[in-house]
Amino acid sequence: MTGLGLAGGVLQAIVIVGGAPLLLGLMRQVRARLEGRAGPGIVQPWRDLRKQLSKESITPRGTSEVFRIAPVLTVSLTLVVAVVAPFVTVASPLPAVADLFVVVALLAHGTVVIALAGLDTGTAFGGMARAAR
Amino acid sequence: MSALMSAAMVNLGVYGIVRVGLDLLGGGPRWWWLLVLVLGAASAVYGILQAVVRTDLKRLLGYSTTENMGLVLVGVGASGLYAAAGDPVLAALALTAALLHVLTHAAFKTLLFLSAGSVVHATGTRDLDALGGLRAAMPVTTAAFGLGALAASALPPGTAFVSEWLLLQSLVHGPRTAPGLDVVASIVLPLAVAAVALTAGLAVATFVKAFGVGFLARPRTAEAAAARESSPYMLAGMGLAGAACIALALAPTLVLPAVAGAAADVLHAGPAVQGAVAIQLVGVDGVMSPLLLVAALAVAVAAVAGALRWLTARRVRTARPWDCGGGPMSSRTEYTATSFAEPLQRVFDDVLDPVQDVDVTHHRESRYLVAAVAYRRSVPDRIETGLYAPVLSAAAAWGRAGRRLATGSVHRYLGYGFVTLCGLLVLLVVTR
Repeated sequence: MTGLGLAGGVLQAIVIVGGAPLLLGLMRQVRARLEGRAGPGIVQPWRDLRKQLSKESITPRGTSEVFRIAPVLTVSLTLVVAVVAPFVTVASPLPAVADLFVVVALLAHGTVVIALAGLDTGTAFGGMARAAR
Repeated sequence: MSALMSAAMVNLGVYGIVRVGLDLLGGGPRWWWLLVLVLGAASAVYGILQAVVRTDLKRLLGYSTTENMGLVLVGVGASGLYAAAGDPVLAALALTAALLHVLTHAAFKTLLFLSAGSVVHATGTRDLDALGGLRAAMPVTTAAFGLGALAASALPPGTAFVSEWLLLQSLVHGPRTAPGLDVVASIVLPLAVAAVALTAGLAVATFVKAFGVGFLARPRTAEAAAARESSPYMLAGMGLAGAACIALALAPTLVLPAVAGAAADVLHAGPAVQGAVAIQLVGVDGVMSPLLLVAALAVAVAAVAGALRWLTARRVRTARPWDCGGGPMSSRTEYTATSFAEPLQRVFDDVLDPVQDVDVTHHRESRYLVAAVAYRRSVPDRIETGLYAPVLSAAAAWGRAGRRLATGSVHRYLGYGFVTLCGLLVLLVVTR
């Protein structure tokens, strides 16, 4: 673990977490312009996020811890991928973790967690969310 | 019993193949190992396909054993292929992966069968469609099954991830670094990678189904709703198997030197892996550390949970799940194991060949009124009905034919002796 790798890992996490909504906003903006609309602007997903985060969170009755920890787990699994995959630098902070199979499996694990959370609600909608994955 | 059968006994077959093929006969021709590899891949894919459509918990686990033994045989076959192609380094790697998978499979399958036994003990049913909601009443069993399911779906940081990672490494490096491989092997090895990947994906679906439908959601029957946690002795057994699973998941390097040494001994090569914290492959590129991965995940979870706590509103409200305004949802609206697997069953229709039957009983007065609709669906195991059933019925028919000779009459038995003696004498006269 080198200093460069550590700095690169932190930078990658910041760039990807901060940039992912911007990428989504950029894609929507391009699409809006192609369709002849003004579009909401590139930072709209970030505005949406700020609004969503300030709202109260609602937990469906009859769900367990699986439902509650699923979002945290999914984001964490993706965050690990964001840190170890070579994006800003190839000097990975965790060279022993970075491997294509591990990255694919980590992303699949994130999907599994969401699917289990969907099943945990015990409604057909949760299962359908699973199927949409 | 099924834990012992599925976790310990099946490994003897692998032991026999490795012992006879690689050790006693010292390698053998290439096509043997090609056959082992292809049969292994076929049984892995077929086994997990059967598992994904099963609703009987124990049969599902049994088919998952078929799948895992198939994966082990893929490793053994690849190892033999590499050895025949004169590449002992990759041969040792493939055999190490296979033997480690035998070990991890034994650990997590024991855990899964013990927790399935606990479920059967508590609810009296093995049908996933009749279970559900067990997490509240049986938290320890649920945690044990969850750990086993994570291992069986070969996701990091599960128990079987390391061995499947090693297996994939040994398969993908083959065509590039082993120059002795011929055309057939160079085509079969990438196909084996695809088969292993398909198997892993279906295993994920299988165990999401088993865990999500069987243990999460709400109870589907009164028996499942009335389940109670099993006795401490059963839980202790699960705890032991679970501890073995966790140890193998976090620190496979504890057992890897022994496994790699055994593989190296058989193949007369050096050990294929080294390292204490990270697993470092010898001879080919590749390094992975389950311990560091778990540490990174823990840091990430802490960071995300902390950020959420800092960023979001603290207010949390519990509410009724969305039901389209149609009143409280019952367990009838939940996904069942059957409906969960239905899309997959549709995709693999040609392989599984399910039997579906819809009976509509019309009203006596008019054909436009329906009195009852009966829907039946079953997915018979084609190997069982097509291969084993004919052999078994032939053996039974042979036995019945033999029984007709033994009527219980002593005179007849004396007659048999006399005729046999005469026949032998005639044979002697003719052949001399």
